[in-house]
Amino acid sequence: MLVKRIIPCLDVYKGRVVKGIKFRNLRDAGDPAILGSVYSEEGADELVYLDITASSEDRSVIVDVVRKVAKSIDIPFTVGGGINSVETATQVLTNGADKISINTAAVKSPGLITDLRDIFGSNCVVVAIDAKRNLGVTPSNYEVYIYGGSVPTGLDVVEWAKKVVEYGAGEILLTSIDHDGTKKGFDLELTKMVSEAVNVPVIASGGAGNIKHFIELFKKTDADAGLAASIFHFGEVSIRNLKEELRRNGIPVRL
Amino acid sequence: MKGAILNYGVGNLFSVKKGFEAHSNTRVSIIDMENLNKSFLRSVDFLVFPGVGHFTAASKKLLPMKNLIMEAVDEGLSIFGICLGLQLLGFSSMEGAGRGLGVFKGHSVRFPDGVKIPHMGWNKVEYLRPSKLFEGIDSPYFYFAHSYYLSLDDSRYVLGVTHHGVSFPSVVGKELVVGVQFHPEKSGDSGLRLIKNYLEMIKG
Repeated sequence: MLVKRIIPCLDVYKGRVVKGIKFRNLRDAGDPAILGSVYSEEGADELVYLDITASSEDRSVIVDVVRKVAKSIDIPFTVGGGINSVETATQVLTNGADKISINTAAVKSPGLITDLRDIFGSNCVVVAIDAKRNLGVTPSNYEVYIYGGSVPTGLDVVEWAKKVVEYGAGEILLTSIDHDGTKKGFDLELTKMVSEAVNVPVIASGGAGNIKHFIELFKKTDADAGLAASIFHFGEVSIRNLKEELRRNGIPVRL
Repeated sequence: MKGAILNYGVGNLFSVKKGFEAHSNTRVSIIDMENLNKSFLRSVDFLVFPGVGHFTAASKKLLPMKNLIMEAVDEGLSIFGICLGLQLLGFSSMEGAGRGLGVFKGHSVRFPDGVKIPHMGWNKVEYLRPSKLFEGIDSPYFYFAHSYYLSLDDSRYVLGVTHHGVSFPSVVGKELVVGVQFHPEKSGDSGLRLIKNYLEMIKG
């Protein structure tokens, strides 16, 4: 049986991890490769690197980051941000990333999902969906947003999730815009709806504030993985502790 | 030890190379299919069939070299298949047209409805038969990312199985030909140990 995955997310700006990460005894807390290997040693099942560099001229920087990260870890990692074509996807995958994540580009040209599937296989194609609760706007009351959560699309989250699977997505990274950064827990209703509507793995993101939130996530929804950033970065929750607690609560994990 | 990774698809070969080269005195090159020839195959101890790409596309590139590769295997060349690379050691696949090498009699099939596809994430390998490959691996969890698996006609060659809706062969071996359905290069310490065990095994 597959175990539930714990995935730290690192935001990368111009080749450095930002939002600040505080590990004890770590001289350079902004190096994506060093941080990746620390998380990997702590027992992370996978890593997500999100390139938030705005300009496209900086593409070569993220490729460099990918190469360094691939050199320093032996667990899978996904790269997202700025991938909007087969070319940009090829750049990161052939330099050592295992999966690419697309978001805005998937909404603007869904055919890209299929193109990526046909070349790399659906195992490498993650579609990220940013969801916001807007009562009455769409059938599920959750609407898809793009451009970093700033632009509403009118798309229904559940319908869109089913669509991206048809187009060829092998995994969905589902972020609740409402819960992101609040530390009040994952959006269980959203996660439950989406993970029950599709038969590909779903990574839940947004709102993790403590261990209880992960237990809740895995007990109450079909999510395959929980993703979080700040609670790991600031050492509020250690991955090893989290996994031990999950196991104690009957949730299968890799320890 | 000297090895080569066959380049028959698009994807992450970097980590595979790194996974093998993490072990002392092992050098691995990446070789394009059209550059494969007898003298090259004689110069390496093992060939890695990596887990990147699509069955049909990879099969198209691989098949013209089938006889060359099988002759080398008869002369003592070892093969290590990863994910799709394992499936290419069977006869054919539901993923699409094309043929594999047929080292293992079997056909790759899709997971049944009702389970999540792709089978993605960390899962356990249950050891069916004793093998040097499993030595010293305390936590037999490995990283999988696939929608098809090779179903073998002859269970003698199944060394380990994994459960995802069905029990499927996740480690197979026949003399010097070994295949794993997971990605050892992405499976942390357990994966690296398995690669090390493999290298020691074929060293004899």
